[in-house]
Amino acid sequence: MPLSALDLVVRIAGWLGAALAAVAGVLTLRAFFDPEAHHAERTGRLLLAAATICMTAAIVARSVVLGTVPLSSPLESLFTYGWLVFFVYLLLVRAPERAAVGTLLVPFGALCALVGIAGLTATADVQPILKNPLFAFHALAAFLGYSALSVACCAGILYLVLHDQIAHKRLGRLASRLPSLEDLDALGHRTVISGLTLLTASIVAGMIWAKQEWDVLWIWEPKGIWALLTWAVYAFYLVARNGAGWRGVRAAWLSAIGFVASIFTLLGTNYLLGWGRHVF
Amino acid sequence: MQICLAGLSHKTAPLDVREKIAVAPEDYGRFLAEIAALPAIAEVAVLSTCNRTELYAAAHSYHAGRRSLELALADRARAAGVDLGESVYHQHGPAAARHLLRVASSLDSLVVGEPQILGQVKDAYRAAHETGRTGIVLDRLFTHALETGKRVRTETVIGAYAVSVSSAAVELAKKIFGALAGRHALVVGAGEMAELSLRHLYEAGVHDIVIANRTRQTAETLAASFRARAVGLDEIAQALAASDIVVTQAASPEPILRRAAFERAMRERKNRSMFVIDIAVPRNVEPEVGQLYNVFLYDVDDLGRVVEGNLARRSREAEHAEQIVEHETARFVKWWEGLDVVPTIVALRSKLEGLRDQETRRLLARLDHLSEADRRMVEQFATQLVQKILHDPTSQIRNAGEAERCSALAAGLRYLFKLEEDAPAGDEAEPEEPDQEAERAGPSS
Repeated sequence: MPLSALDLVVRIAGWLGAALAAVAGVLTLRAFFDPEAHHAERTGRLLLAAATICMTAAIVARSVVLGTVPLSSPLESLFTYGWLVFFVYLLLVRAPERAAVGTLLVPFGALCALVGIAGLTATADVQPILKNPLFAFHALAAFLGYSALSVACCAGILYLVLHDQIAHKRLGRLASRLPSLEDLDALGHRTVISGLTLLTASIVAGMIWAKQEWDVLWIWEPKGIWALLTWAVYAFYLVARNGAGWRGVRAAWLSAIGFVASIFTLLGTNYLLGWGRHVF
Repeated sequence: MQICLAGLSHKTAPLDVREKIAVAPEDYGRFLAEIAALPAIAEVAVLSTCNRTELYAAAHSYHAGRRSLELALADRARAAGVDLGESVYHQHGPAAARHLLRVASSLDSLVVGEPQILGQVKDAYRAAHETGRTGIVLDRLFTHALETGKRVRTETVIGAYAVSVSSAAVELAKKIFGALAGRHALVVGAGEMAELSLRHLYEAGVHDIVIANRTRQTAETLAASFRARAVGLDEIAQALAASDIVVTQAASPEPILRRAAFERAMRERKNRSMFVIDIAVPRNVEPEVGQLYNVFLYDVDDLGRVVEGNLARRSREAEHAEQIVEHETARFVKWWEGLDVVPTIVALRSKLEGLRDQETRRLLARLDHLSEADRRMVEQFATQLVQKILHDPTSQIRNAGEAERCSALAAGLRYLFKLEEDAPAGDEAEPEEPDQEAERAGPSS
């Protein structure tokens, strides 16, 4: 049976990827907090690249099994989300910020991947409505956007930590390991722009898809409303930062708030406000 | 083989002596050849910087090696016309190894933690290695020292902390802005500290500088050396909005720069961060300025506290670095003492095997009635007996643990079995040279 062989690939590559990512997470943390572990950072990055490759294999195999992107159930989405976070981290975050951002992001992504793969269910039949390429685009763009926004959130948190030390004039060892305020602010800005662009694309694709399936552009239910709210927070971030001089601390807070909103859109609307057609 | 060191450094000799003794890069080859030609020297390397000139040698005996290195330095001093007086220090054995490891780790530097020394040690080693002046001992010692230096560099942050007010200011600026190239700076007043900070900023890539001073003349003199623009005090307000970094050190009984001016400037620059360093006493900038959004105001006391913290951190890091050096020295010494044990074992084996052959021959000559098979049995018996006798001491000495114990045991063996006749001061005989021992052991086996 070709399908069960593919399932095996999903399981093996998925677990391997998640395990490698977990080790990479531990190494990244060690490299940041323990200056003696000087090989840890490089090894961590190599392991993370290996983990991402394994996870890519798992996701490709799962997509073939499902006939659509593996974003059709919450835990599966969590796994895919972890994969996208690594992807964005490896591709978008460059040297001065890499070590510090990785300290938050790599363990976070590894946790997502582990929980996701542990809870991965056998493939039930996917609803035919999800086999539409528009769904694939809608979901993938949204999750890629959330991944970029998680980088922005990390940059924001680090900004707040460093700013606190500089403003209160007590610089510790931590400060010497962090990139500069401007670099963190710029990274946040850059990733919010990419994230918001992707969210916009996802919403537009979702609307076209809804029009095709149900002949309406917008359904008023929790996930849609929260997605709109999240979108508004980041749109406000861009306007306030560039128009009203909210760069720095305020921008950092906004990216953190936006990220909390996006997590709620992703999971909270499923479990706390679980109604509407939009629930997985 | 003994490791010897003779040298002088900023700790023992004044600059005018050091600079005359220092070896120019093109003279290394000749100087190394001169030393190598002196008695007892098997390997040699020279480390020469503006702060130190040190000769490292692997010598056949400590005393002869020390004499040769002393001679080499004295010749050099005589040629340069300086009196070395008491400035030459000597080390040997583990202490000499530890010294090089400390030097490579920048623990013996004038400014502890300065980064150049590691490269200088590397160059010194390369110069000696490429001309064939180093061998098994110095190759190992210098490689080990370079590794130790790198370890200290990566595992401690000994060089990472600014320990002067002006360098602390630049470090902070980097923490706020990242790379400083392309940033704009405004300097108010032309005090000595302001000039020093300016120099640090300029070196870090800040080339767009405005200097404001009450007397325009002073501002222009200072501006000339930094390709900066000089303005009067009345033009500060206009310059403020474009400035990322502001340094003030003007003599004034009350603040020159008030909150309102900064509020306006920050509005104009859309709250882009501004770093204000007020090193004037009394202060030039109203303290309330520090409460403005994205303005980071540090006065001279704030910077002083940063420096104090850094000094404490640096000495903590130095302690950690000393531990690394201690550990690495022990590792090197263990290897080096091991060099001592191997020839002893070889010598012991060859001595016992020589005795065995001699005695078997003598015995068999008297027992000529024995058949060929019986003779072989006697020979086998002798061989096995010697092997069994050798087995325990050889494995015990190899596994004796720390190096000092190994070498004490080796010395004991050499004494008890009379493995060497001459005193350690002898130059011709080389009882510790492994190759020769191997050759000597060759024919008898």
